[in-house]
Amino acid sequence: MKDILRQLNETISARGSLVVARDGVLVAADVNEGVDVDRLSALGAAIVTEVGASLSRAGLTEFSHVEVAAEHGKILLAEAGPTYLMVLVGARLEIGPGSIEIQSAANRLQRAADFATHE
Amino acid sequence: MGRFADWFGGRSVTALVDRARQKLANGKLDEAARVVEAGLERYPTSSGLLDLRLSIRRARAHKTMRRLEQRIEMNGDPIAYEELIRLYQELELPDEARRMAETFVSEHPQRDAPHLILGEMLLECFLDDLQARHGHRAQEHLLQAANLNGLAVRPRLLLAEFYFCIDARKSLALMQESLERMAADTGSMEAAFAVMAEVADAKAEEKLDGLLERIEVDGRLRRDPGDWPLSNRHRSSSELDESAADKVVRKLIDKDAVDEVVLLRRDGSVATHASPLGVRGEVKPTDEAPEPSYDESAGTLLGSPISHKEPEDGFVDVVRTVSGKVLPQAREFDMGKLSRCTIRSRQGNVVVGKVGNVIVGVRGASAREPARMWERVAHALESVTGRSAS
Repeated sequence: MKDILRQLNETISARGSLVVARDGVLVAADVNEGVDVDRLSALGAAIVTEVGASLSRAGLTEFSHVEVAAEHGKILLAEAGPTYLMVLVGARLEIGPGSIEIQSAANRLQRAADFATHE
Repeated sequence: MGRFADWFGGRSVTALVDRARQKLANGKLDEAARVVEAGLERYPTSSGLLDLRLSIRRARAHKTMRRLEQRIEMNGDPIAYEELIRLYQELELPDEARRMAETFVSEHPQRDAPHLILGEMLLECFLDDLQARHGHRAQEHLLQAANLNGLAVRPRLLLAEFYFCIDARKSLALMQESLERMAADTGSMEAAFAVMAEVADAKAEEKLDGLLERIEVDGRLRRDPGDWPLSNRHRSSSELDESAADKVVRKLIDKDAVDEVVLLRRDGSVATHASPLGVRGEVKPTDEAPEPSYDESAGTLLGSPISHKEPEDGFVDVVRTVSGKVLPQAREFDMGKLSRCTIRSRQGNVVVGKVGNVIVGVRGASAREPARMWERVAHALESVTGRSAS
C-alpha cells in the first residue's frame, strides 16, 4: 500500500497521501516532510466517521468522494474498496477525487486490500 | 439582444477583464483602473473585475510597501511595522499581515501595540476556525497588551468580546470591573456594559482550557459574535438579512436549482433551512418531531410527518459537522483560504462553504454538478449577506 501511495504522490506531486479504514483507523501513509501525518489522519478519521455518520442520518449512506478546496491546495478523499484514499495536493485545478491518477490508485488499493483479505 | 451588442461592442465582462488585464500587464495602472471601475458599474458582482481591482491596488501600493520594509530593515521602526501590517490587511494579504505581526512581537516584546495587533488577528482567527490554540494565543497576547498598558481600553474590550463569545462568565466579570473603572462614563460603551451585566458572573466556576477545547470539539461558539454590541468585525447573523435569505433560498428550491439549503449562524444555530417541504427559520438540533396523527377516513398519517422531519434535521447535522469538524482541521495544512467542501454520494451531493460570514450547506441530486449548484446558491445569497462567497 505504501508503494501505491508513494507512486501516486510522485505522479501528481502530492504533499502526501494515506489510507484510512471505514472506522477511521489509519492503515498506511506516505507524506512529505512538513506534513503532519497525525493531523492528516485525524482529519481523515473525522470525515470517515463523524461526517459519514451524519450523512447516514441524512439518508446519504454511501459517500464516494470528498473534496476540501482551498486557495493553494486541496484535500481529496476517494473510496477505495473497504477503505478510503486521502490525498493532500497543491493548487492543481485539474486534480480532483475523480481524476484518473487517484481512481487508478484507489483501484489498486482495493485490489491490495482484497488480496490481503484472501491471504 | 443587449448581450450580443455588449459582446460585439467589447463591453462583455470577459472583454473588459481582458482589456484591463492587458493594461495592468503593460504597467498602465490608471487606465486599467478606469476600465475596471467602468466595468464594475455595469457588472458589480463580477469576480474577475473585483480581483483585478485588488491587483491594481496591490500594484499601486508596491512602492509604499517597499519603503516601509526598508524602514523596518534599517532600524526596526515600530511605526513602519504598524503601517505595513495595516497596509497588508487593506490589500487583503492576511498571511503577510500575520507574519509581520509575529515578527513585530518578537522584535518589540515590551511594547503593547504588537501584542494588541497580533492578539486581535488571533482572535479573528479563533472566531473563524474555533481552534483552541488560536483562542489561547489570542488571550495571551491581549492580556500582555493590557498588562503593558494599564490605560488601554481596546485590549480589554477585545478580551471581553472573547469571553462573551465563549461564555467565560467569570473572566468576563473581571474584565467588566476593569472596563467600568476605566470608561464608565463613555456613552458608546453603554450597550456593552448592559450585556456584560447580564452575562458576567464573578462567582461562576470556569476552566478556560476546558471551555476552549469544548468549543473546538463542538465546532460552535457559545454566543454569536454579532450579538456583542461593539463588534463590527465579525457580524455574521447581523450581516445576514434572514427574511431576505428565506425568500432567496425558497426561490432556489422552487426553481428546482437545489433540493435543500441550510444557513448557519456562527453559534451553529439555524438561520434558514429550506427544502421542498418548506422554509424553517429556527431549527434546533434538539427539536422533537411532533407526533403524527392518523386520518382514519383516508387511512393515512397526517401532521408533520417524522419521516419528513428527520432527513431535514439530518442535513443540518451534516452542515454542522462539516463546518465544525472538517473545515477547521483542514486549515492546519497551509492551503490558504478555504473555499468549500464537496461530498458526492450515490444518494446525492452536498456542498458546504461560506458566503460572507455565514455557513451555507447545499444539497442536490447526484446528477447535479456540485460546483454549478454551489455557484448558483452562493451568487444568489451574496445580495443578502452583503459579502462574496469564499
